[in-house]
Amino acid sequence: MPVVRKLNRRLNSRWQLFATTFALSLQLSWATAGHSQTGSVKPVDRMGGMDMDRVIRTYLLADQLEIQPNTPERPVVLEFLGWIGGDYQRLFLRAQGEQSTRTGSGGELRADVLYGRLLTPFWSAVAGVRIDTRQRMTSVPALTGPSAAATGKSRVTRGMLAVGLEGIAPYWFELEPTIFVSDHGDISAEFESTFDLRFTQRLILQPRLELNAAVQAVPDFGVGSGLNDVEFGARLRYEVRRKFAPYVGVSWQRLTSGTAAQARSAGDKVGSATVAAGVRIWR
Amino acid sequence: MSCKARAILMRCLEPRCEFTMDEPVDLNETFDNACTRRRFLHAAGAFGALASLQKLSPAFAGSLRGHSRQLSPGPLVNRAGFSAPAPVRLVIDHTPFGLAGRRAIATTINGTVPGPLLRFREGDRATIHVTNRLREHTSIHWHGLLVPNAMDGVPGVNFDGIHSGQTFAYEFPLRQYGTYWYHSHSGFQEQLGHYGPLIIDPIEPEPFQYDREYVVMLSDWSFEDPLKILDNIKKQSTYYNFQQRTVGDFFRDVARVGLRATIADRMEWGNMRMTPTDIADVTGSTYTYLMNGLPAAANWTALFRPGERVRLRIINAAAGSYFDVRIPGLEMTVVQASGQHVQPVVTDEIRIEIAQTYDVIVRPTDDRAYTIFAESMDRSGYTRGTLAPRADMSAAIPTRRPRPTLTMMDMGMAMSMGAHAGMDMTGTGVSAAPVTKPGTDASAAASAGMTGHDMAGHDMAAMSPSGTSNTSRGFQGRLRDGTIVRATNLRAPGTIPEPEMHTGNTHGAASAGTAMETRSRLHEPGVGLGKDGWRVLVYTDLKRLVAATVFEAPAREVELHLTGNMERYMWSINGVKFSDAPDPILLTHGERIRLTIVNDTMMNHPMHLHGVFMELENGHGAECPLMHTINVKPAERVSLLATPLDAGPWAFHCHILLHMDLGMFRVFQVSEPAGVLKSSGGGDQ
Repeated sequence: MPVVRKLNRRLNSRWQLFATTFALSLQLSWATAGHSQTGSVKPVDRMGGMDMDRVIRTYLLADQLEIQPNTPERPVVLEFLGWIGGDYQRLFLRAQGEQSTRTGSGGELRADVLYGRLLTPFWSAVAGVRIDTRQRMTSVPALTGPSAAATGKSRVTRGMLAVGLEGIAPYWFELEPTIFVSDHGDISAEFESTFDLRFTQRLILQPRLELNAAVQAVPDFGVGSGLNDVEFGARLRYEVRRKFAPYVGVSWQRLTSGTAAQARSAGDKVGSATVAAGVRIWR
Repeated sequence: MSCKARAILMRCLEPRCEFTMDEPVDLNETFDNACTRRRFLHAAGAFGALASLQKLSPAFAGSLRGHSRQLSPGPLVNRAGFSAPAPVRLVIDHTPFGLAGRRAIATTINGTVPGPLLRFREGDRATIHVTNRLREHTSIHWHGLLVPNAMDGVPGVNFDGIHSGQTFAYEFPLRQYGTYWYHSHSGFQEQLGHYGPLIIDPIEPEPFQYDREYVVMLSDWSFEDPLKILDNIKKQSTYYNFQQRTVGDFFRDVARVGLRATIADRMEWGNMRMTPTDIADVTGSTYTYLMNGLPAAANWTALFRPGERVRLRIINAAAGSYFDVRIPGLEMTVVQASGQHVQPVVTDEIRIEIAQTYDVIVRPTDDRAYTIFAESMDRSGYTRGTLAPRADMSAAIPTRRPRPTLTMMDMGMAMSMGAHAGMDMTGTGVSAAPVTKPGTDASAAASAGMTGHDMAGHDMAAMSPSGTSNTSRGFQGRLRDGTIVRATNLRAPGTIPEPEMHTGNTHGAASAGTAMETRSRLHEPGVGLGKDGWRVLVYTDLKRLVAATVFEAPAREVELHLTGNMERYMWSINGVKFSDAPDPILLTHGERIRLTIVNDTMMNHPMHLHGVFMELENGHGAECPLMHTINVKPAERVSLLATPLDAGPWAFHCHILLHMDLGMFRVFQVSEPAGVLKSSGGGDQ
């Protein structure tokens, strides 16, 4: 498939970032595991060498692995979630990426690595880092800083520190509110919530609400201050197996306030509706 | 009963009547798979010959037509047993086998699943050589047997396990009678077929009569690797639950109980982030349920002659499944529970928790087949066998009942919220019946209820300075792992505990939805039972056959809370999983202990204490039944008495294999008897 090969080339550097992130996480988790096991020497080893109640596990979920055919760029969109760890301490991994299948431009990737500790039965506190990389959005010189002389196809990357929560709110809303501070001191926040509505034991509708907000405008990333955008979507999946579920989905996105203004001046639309088809896989 | 049947029965009961090897051909063949107790007891010579035959042909149960390639069970009383004085040799190995058209490899004892029936005589000394041909450790625990500590078979607690290639010699006196079983206590071997039945014939004549007996060993088999099952469920706790509530259920409930009630119910469960359909973690979606090693389709068959009394020794050897057992058309008379005599109870259905044993006597009088139906508690599957006068017969298989749902009562909501507690969304759940306490000594219980609260406050202040100080008889307080020990103002022995509100710590992140109020539920049949219009055995039905001559009051009470967090699939005691529990719980040799188990979770837990019988305080005083395993219902408070007389570390755990492996496990360290030089044994570090 030529499309896939093309994609591969384009995404290559980004996959490297993925790979590095995960390798790093693995090492970290190994270190954590070793540390937690030195805590106490057990008089009892009933498992004949394995203590089943302190096994380190690795979970990786491709929550979204989809194509959005009605969007002009017809992008492939990825959202990976995962964790490595035990019952109380986990290294959470999140990655989101988007790549056009039409043009060579565009494409963005975001990866979070967060240490999480279970504090209450349903909530972990998380803290860690996030890296964003994407094509520079700046097209209005008035809004740019001194570094933004160049426009067009250059890429921008920023690092952030992240702190937040991850868990399940009453009524089964899965939430992960997170606050970020970038390497330039820009503060932003993200709120995402999902819910599983079960039509049958295998046919499940998952509505999703996502809000982003920022204190400072970061035009390179197309971010204005205030509430940036609201996205509401729903994906209907069929769990052929628990670990393999094809889905179709729709979502509505609307940019707001400063972010919307930037988009308008760049000639982009502030509202969009997309349809998606993909597969949800985990291991 | 027909005259003919009665005649046969009378003939069987006649002392001189014996079945011999030269019975008419038809009987020999039809009764191939059967035996009579008399035959066993009186035909030791023939028995030996059969035992050696069995060695050559382990697939003896395959002689029932149609499934000779199946791994055979050990249902025959007189074929697979070993006479007591000769050493028994058991070999643990991997054996390929076929089940329901698929191939798999089981972890077997002498090549079969279940392993061979071991049969001993009370008062004898058992010698059992266990050879490990696996590449990993193995072990055998003699479930329910009172054995010297080093023979109890829990790797890491009692011994190092049996290493690959080694042979371990178990040797212990048989100090009790009854139906028991044995199984691996290593890893997930039990799930893979490493279990078998064990019978100890009593010295004293049994207080009931029967003509024929069978072992009915129930278990669950999965073609998935147990490690994979655990991994799946750790990552998605509802992985195997294909009976969750759906949008369709919502509308059905609206039609049944109205919109408001339905929304209120959904809000309540949602608010707690609990699923009312969480009856079993691992279900029929991966399990094939077995009776004596055979799936329902293979129809394990037990033969009888109409009018005979047939004793069924029912054993639940499952790794993760409770069974509801009934034989439509026959009533069952329960004569033993946990291997020990009880006053006969006539019932129609028995919920048998994992690791429990019940002996029942049935008396089929008609010349027809009866289905022995064992439905999994969550209704996701079943197994069955047939009681039949001839081979190749079968009776109707009952339709499975709808899966039950838990109620607010299972969540430990206070009774003041009774309106909600009573709401039963499926029509099959157990409603929140008003709690009546049969046989409770009211005054004693009332004062005990108050003392309980007083003590709870006191406990939190009194911290154990070290893990060892609770050896002293007088110690009370809260141990480092959260276990509460009380030594004063204990209620009268044999009485039922009063409801109590949860006080003190709620066990942290390891315990989701900690029950607010826990109470005795011994009189309840359990979730999904009791509304079918027939009798169901409940714990308050059980009375020891002969009341204890000495029935002392407890000197101390040890209170443990069962805790779990379904979301992360964590299981623990007092919110502390075993690998994090700092010390064993120390008991003094010979002291009278009350063990109070409080279930703060919404699942049933079959709790098993090694090394000592527990006397279930079900309100019958000195007639409290002896139990090796006790089911603790959601939000239940159960108390048991025990007098530990064998020194050493003894395991105490949930017998749901995954729960045990994930940390719902503790060790009780019983001190050496007074007068014996005190060793610094396992518990003193």
